[in-house]
Amino acid sequence: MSSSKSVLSVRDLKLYYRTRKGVVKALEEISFDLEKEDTLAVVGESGCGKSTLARALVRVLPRNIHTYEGKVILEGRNVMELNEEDFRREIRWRKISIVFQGAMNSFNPVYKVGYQVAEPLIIHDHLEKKEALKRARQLIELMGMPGVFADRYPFELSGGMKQRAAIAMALITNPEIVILDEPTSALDVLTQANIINLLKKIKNEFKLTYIFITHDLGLASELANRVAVIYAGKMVELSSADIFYTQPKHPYSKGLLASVPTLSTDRRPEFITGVPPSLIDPPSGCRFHPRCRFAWEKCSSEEPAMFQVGKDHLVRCWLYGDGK
Amino acid sequence: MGWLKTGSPKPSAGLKGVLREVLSYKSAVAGIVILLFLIGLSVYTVVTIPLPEAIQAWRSSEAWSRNPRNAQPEWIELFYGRKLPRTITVSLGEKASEVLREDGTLSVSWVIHFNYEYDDFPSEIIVFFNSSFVEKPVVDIYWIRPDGDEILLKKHTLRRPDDRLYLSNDLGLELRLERLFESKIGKKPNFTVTVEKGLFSEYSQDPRVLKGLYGMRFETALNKSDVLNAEVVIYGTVHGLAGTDHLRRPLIIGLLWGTPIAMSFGLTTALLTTALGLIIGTISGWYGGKIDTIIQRIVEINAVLPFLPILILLTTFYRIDLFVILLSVVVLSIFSLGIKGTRILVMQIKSYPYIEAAQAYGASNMRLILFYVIPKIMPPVVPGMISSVPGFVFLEAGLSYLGLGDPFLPTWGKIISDAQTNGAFYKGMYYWVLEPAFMLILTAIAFALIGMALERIVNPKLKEL
Amino acid sequence: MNSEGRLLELEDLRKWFEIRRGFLSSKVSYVKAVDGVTFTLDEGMAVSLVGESGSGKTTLGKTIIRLYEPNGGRIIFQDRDVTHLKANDLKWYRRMTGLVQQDPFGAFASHFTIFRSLEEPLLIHNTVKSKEERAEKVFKALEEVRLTPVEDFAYKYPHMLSGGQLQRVAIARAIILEPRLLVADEPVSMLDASVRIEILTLLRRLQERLRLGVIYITHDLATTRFFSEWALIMYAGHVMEKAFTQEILRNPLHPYTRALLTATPEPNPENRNRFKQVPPGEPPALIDPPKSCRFSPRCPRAFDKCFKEEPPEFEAASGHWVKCWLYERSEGK
Repeated sequence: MSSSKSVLSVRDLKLYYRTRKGVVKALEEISFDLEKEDTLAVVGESGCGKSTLARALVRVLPRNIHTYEGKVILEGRNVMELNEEDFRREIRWRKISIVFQGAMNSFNPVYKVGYQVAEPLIIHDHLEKKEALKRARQLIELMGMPGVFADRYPFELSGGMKQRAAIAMALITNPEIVILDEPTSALDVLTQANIINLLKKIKNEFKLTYIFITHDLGLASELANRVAVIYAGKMVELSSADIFYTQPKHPYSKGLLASVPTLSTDRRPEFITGVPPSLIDPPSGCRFHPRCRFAWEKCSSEEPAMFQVGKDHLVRCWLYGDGK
Repeated sequence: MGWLKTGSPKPSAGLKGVLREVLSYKSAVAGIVILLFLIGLSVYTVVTIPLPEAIQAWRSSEAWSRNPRNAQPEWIELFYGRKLPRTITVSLGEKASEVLREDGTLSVSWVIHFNYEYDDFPSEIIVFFNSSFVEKPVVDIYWIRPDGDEILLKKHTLRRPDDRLYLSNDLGLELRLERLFESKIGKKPNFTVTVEKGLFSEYSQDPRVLKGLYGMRFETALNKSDVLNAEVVIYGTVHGLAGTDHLRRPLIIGLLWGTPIAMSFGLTTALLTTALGLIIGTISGWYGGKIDTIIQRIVEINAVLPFLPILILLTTFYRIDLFVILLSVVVLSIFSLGIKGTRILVMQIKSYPYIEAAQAYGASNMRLILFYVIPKIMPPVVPGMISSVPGFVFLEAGLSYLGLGDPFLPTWGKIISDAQTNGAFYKGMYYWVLEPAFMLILTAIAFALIGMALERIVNPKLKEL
Repeated sequence: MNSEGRLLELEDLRKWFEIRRGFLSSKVSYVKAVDGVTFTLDEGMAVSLVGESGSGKTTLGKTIIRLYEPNGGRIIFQDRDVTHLKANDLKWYRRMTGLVQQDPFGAFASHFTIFRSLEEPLLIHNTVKSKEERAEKVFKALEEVRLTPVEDFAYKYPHMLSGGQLQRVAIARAIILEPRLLVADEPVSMLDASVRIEILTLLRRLQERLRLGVIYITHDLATTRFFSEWALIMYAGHVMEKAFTQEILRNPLHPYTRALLTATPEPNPENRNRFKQVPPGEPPALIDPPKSCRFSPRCPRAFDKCFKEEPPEFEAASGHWVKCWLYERSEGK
């Protein structure tokens, strides 16, 4: 299923952390392909590994890494083989950039916003400071902010404005892929809607490919044309957004969708009982089986693979194991 | 910042957990071992040398008359590689002869012997008499060298029954010995012939200890009822574990007693200042407003007040003993800058949701402070307290050094002060300064090591260092 | 209690926070966090306070349970004026009200076990004398929030529990003194989607069973419909619209409410193909808010009057109040 058109292919990405309590199996068997101008929403509960995936792709990782392997093929080249220096120089921010969760709080309070937006240019492209600042100001205006905001300090900007600046910072080096890690999680509903509108606009303008990490399925549907559901460090469903939102297959995906309260329908939201498992000692077989309404013996003993249930639709569940 | 979790990561709950973690630091284990040693030393000292006894002994000069003056510790030999003289004490004992003379007096003589096998000369020779007499007797004292030579030391008229004969100070003897040396080797020797060297050296150009059996003869005429006894003390240059000072006092007593004094002073002051600072800081941070303003201004004023001069002023006005010093130090340190830290911590904790929750179910301010706030600030406070102990130990030593310490107690600072006034370094008596300094540093290191480990445990950010 | 079953009445309630500018300066300005709220809540009913951050919804909630003392207006609880209660009377009011906070991880003293955390209110109010009875109450409260077997949870420390479990304990703590009114301040906004509904359902069941009055503070309009009878839409310290929750969702009148409804994301794959019509800008600073309608600078339908005068609350339909000049004419109806 790996096609030549894809800009990013991830194969069997695996990431373990070492902690005092044991090895945390944060990510396992993560595989997906992204085509140009795709938006892949990666959804899941907190601690499922979705933020870890974002960080693994740009290799911004903590020190206590135990295992970090698999293939990340970017424009036909496995970037996992690059050393840290080459990765920094050629990939991070050049090809893939990221808007971190709470990025608006990550500005350095003593530098002007414009300079901080321009900094990747100065570092990566060795651009003259003046030129870089000019580009930063243009980009800030494109983000729907007055250009004078470039000369302000972070504390002089509201949360929504800082988030726009953070997005500008991710775009300044013209990357092809932008990872958005909960880019609106601390913002108000109206501000969030404005930021999402902005993200849609610049996606069209810059022909960007997004990886959109979120826990909010409603918000995910605002951007995504494809959805990946992660549960306990493993991808359990990967499909197009159109199919996912109408006919989710995995019991966990169904549960998640059912738990979203809606304004437009009278459907009463439901909930999934139980708590997500520990990633140090995950359950045998399917990791979701202790919370699954449809689980039978096989689910607790054997681990399901990703079964193809339709065009571009993969589900990690024994319910679909024979239907290939 | 919503994600900032207020419940600090608790590695392992309870005292046991903390202890286990402390023991995982090698430095902390070393600190604990040193501390246990110091505590053991303190207990041993307090039990074996009760304080009144120690003070009395420390203050009397008589008790130590048989000790050499400014003697080095015995283990110093290890560095010299020579056998340094210990103190030799010989009593007259049995009379050697007794002859009744015509005038009714008795002509008496004593002979005593001792072996001298050291590689260095003694520091001093004193004869302590202990006699009773009607008429002042004249005692002739002879020196018998291992080579058989006999030298008249002195014809000494006893002035008092407990008269002392300071042979080392006898200039006449010194001159006679110098002449003796000149005649024996045919020219002036290369060294000043002191009494000790004159008596114990070979007849040679340079001073060389003549080892062997020495003797002394005492001859006198006594009335029948008269009694004469004497003790000859040939003082060595080394004494005991720690040596002696200018008043012949064994430093070991000062060093030993200095331990419990320093430890209790340091710990008590640290405990009191920390506890009081904690309470004041908590009140300041919790209530805010005017109380806070007043307390903060006091702290700031206190911070610019010269601590030491005030302490000196206090100690000149009041009778100085350790308790007064302790009290003054505590009073002057209560409003320390540490209060600012506590205050900020309390203000931070005050804004935590769990405090608000407790207010919502009706917890009183008192309850909140005691059960909700103080237990939360203890983790950073305890290591801080332990780390502050050395400072107070040094302070007490410093005050003693300045002559502002307790005048009765033997303390490390006082020993250093004595050493200083007696020019210990100038005279090469390093042990006098280094021994108390070593004890001070040992104490400081013990508390610092434990404090640092605790600090790392409660403040995980430091763990990576 | 009282004949009409009325639990809580707010009359023109105000909470202004004082800010002193500079040291020794006597110049005082105010942050008008809650500026004139009138509302009535019956026993056993739930009301949602909906608004964005800075709308004053949390301040209002905390003022109602007297964590803040109001600067103006009155709070009537069970026919008793509790606006300025002191000392023992306030302590009584604390027993009659409960609070569930937003952050379950910060809501507990990390050095207390769950048992101790739940026992604290009982110890403070001394409602139960014996140790055994207290333990019984604690265990019962844990059962009430379905943390069973209770022994598994009672002796744990907060950091050993998940966010959802902690929020259950927080609810248990809020109801252990058998209050009549519960303020739940964004009780699920820090929890995962899959457990949010579970916690809200639990709250709802408790409310119905114990006939609790509940004030549910939220920024999420979508959850209000299943968990509250009433809804108050707040913006910059003012109540912009109040009505039955269903009525507001079905027939939103205030432009701000409409904007909120539009902006709330819903799972729908067609969303990606369209832009949302939401007003730009940000809520005003509450130190110096607009003298007229506080939403007017952002309002897509604002006209002259909106920038000049502050609108009163118009009853646009029966029981449906809107603070907006657009509905002035319906006043005479």
